[in-house]
Amino acid sequence: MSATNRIPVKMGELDPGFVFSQHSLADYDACARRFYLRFIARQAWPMVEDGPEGLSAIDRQAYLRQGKTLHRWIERRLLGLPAGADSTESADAELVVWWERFLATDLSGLPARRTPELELACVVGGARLYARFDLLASDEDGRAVIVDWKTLRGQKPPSPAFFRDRLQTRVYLFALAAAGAPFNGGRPFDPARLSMRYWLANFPERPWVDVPYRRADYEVDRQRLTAMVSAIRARSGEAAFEKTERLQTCAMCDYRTLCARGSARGGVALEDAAIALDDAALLDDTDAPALDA
Amino acid sequence: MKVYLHGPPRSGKTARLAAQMVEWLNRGVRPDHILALSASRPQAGRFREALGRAAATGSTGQPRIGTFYGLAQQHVGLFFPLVGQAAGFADPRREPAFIDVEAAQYFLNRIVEPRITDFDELRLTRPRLLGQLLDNAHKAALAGFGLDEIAARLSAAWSGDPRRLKAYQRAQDIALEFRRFCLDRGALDFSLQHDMFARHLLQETAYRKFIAGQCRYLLIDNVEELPPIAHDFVRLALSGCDEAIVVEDDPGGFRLFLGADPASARRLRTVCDTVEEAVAPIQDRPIAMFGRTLAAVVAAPAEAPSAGRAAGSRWPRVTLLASKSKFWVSMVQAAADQIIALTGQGMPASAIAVLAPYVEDVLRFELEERLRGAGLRVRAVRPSRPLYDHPVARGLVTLARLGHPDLAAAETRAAGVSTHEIARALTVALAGLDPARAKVLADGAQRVEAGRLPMISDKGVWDRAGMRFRERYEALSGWLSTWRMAESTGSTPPLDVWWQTLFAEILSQPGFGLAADGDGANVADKLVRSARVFREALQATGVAPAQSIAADYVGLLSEGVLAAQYAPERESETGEDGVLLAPVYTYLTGDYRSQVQIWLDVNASGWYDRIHQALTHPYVLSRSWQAMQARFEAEGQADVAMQWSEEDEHRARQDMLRRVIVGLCDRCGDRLYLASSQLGLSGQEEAGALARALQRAL
Repeated sequence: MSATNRIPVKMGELDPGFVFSQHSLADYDACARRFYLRFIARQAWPMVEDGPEGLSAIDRQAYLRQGKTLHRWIERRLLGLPAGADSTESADAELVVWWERFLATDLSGLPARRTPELELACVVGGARLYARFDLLASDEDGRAVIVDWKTLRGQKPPSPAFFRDRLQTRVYLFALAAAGAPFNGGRPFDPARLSMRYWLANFPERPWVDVPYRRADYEVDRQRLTAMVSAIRARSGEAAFEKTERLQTCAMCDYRTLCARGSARGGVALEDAAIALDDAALLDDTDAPALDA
Repeated sequence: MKVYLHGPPRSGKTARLAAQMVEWLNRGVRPDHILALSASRPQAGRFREALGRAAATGSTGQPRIGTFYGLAQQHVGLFFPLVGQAAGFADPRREPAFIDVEAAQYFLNRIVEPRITDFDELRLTRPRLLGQLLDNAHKAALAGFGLDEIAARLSAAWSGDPRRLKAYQRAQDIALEFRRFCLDRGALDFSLQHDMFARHLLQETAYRKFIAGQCRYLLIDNVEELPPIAHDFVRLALSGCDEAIVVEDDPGGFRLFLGADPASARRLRTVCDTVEEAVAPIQDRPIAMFGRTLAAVVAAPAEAPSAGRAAGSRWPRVTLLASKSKFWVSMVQAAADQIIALTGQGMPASAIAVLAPYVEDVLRFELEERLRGAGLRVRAVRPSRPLYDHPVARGLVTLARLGHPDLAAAETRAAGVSTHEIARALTVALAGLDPARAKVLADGAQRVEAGRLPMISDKGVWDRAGMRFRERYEALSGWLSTWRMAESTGSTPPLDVWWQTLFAEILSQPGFGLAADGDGANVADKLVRSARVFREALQATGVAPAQSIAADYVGLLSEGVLAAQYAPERESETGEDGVLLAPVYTYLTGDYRSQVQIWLDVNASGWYDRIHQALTHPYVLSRSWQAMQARFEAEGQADVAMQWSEEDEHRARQDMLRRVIVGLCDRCGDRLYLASSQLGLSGQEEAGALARALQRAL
């Protein structure tokens, strides 16, 4: 038996029209080979998707569904539609708790103009970088807050530094500064007037974490994201996308048995589960089903 | 300015749409106020490609891009609290469960099951019966009429055996019962989603306001391939938008069987500021010119040019291949010879398309074999094979029957798993195990315990099968045995998770079958996802106990009822560097273009014949039919006019053949080869309308 599995996939290059996102960049940041397998080879690898801390695959799926429903209820609320209030009778208990916490949250400090579920794309290193905000709150004076509804669990909320350093934060704030002009009367946003707020459904004692932005941050992000995108685009062929040296990363990776770097059972970080919600295209490419053909 | 732009393929319409999108972005239009809709996934991809190209010049912004069906689904989900009650949901406060075609077929099957003998006289297989029953509901929703009109429409159009009228009524009753089921259980299938969209959401004031605010800039591609309710939406969006381009490919309407209605699309011209024709000078496109001539012959054979003219003199770029061939394989050989000759002259293989009414495995195989020697590949874009036909899917199902507690219990009561099935599963599970050795192992296993995969101690078996497989076989056997012995309880993992566990703990481990089989892993993933979606639909609607879901899924999959699940094809099969092989309608609806086309089987009637469907009818269940009937009724001739006659069928075939001919020729840049054989693949002789028209045109 060989120690390493080799998949004889056709060696593709990155699609010239490939759209980067915080999700794909996070994969690359974790492991270049993971990026290769997921976005170039498009290799499926159906491992059990357990969550951390003993969360079963089924529980994790239910958790993701609840998160998706919460996002939908909030979107409806922000659009002035009947939202989830009447739905609580038949909804999951945890979802109801999240919803009630949302309703109790004071959003009055946010800028008044609210745009839920906003997609944005900027250009970095000659490629498109996509972001999808749960909510953009902005005002006439060029102040804007990106809000993200987070349902992550844990004994205590992650530290502000955790949120500050996430690729999601860096990508979202940079994208808004770089490509947000159409949402600011045609004028680019001043990075110093931007911030990102993570609303935490499971930590009512600390309902949100704010991450401010500065002009210097924008420049640092620009350089970092450009370097990442350029490095990916410069690579060619499977061999150029090497496995990570940080072996602890592999324990949470879907491809761990493919790379012979982990046991059969692993787990997906909860924040990764939450990220998965962010990358769905707003308009799914559903096609008409062909029947009896 | 709102522009309705129509014209043939290759006249720059889609490029204009893409350029307009980029121009709006560069002008500073809010990207979320731009809506770009297409009829299909690949066509929507063209807008994304345009954005990718524009990135090189720094163009930013993310318009809303997608298919009409995706938009309808998303908006019905978002606005459900506003329209759920009006649509008749028993509990409109509950979030609806979107169900896919597989789950819909399952629910429909439960309704049909007690009445299956009512349809005996139609001699339809179960999957085809369910497909047609569901298709009626889809067609009604996409055309915008109620399910209670199905029987009346079909009956009025029918002129044959009166017993069919009862079948139509039963089909309608089942459609209505299925709808009631969905409303009671909070399930949203494709037909109900689109019925809600058209009959409730489009009328809702809040939604109309939402669209007016969101869709300020509109781009619609291939509007002729969209169903009438999509045209209703476009009409609404056009009424409030600032700028728009609506593009119609002419000829089009190739997605007729998916509800496309070109006549309905053309009515949008009246709500645009201007109608423009995209021109592609036909004198520069000899194949396009040939297509129009041939289409004219189809339309009016008596007035067409007479037969017997030399092809070379009138149409130097149109060539008959193998016209004297008796057998089908000779025709394929002639096509392959021509491809090899063309590529030998420097033509890229990717510039050549081989097109036939149907592309079966045998055609693909024969063509591949003949081109392989010349180093040429075939990339087939035919509809993929059903998921269950893939050996990996079958193998995983067999392993589940051997080990999943819910299934293993059912197997004990039933006939059990056959030796043949076990052998095939072993070739999937153990890397390097050929079918002959797998048979030895399966036989050995059956001697120990029938219908199981027990440990085998007989040394003779291992001597014949190969000792190197023993350790892995025993790992698999032990793993399955452990699961089988477990009680089927509420904590038993559902089938999708069980398969994932099998994959993780056994099949993806070194030396096992999927560890180095990327295609196989993709198929396994597709199966897992299919089973999960099915389970979630059943759980959300509460129609089946958890312990029976796995058996229901496997039963329907193996009976071919879940036929809409297809095995994924790898990039190696769909890459860009081989000769394209496609069914005619796939080529047209995918809007492919080629320098060279080779048409096979031009004698066949499949170029224009529609599949015989006893319980449904694409023309009668359309909005255009409705409009036509209203006109006839106004003229006092309803009874006569409403029947779908042989003459109607003949006209419809002719019309479709004309559109196919022009559509294909417009997509052919340089040369066209026409191949036929006296006998078709199954040995029958055919001389269809296309062949007859060609005799006159060439």
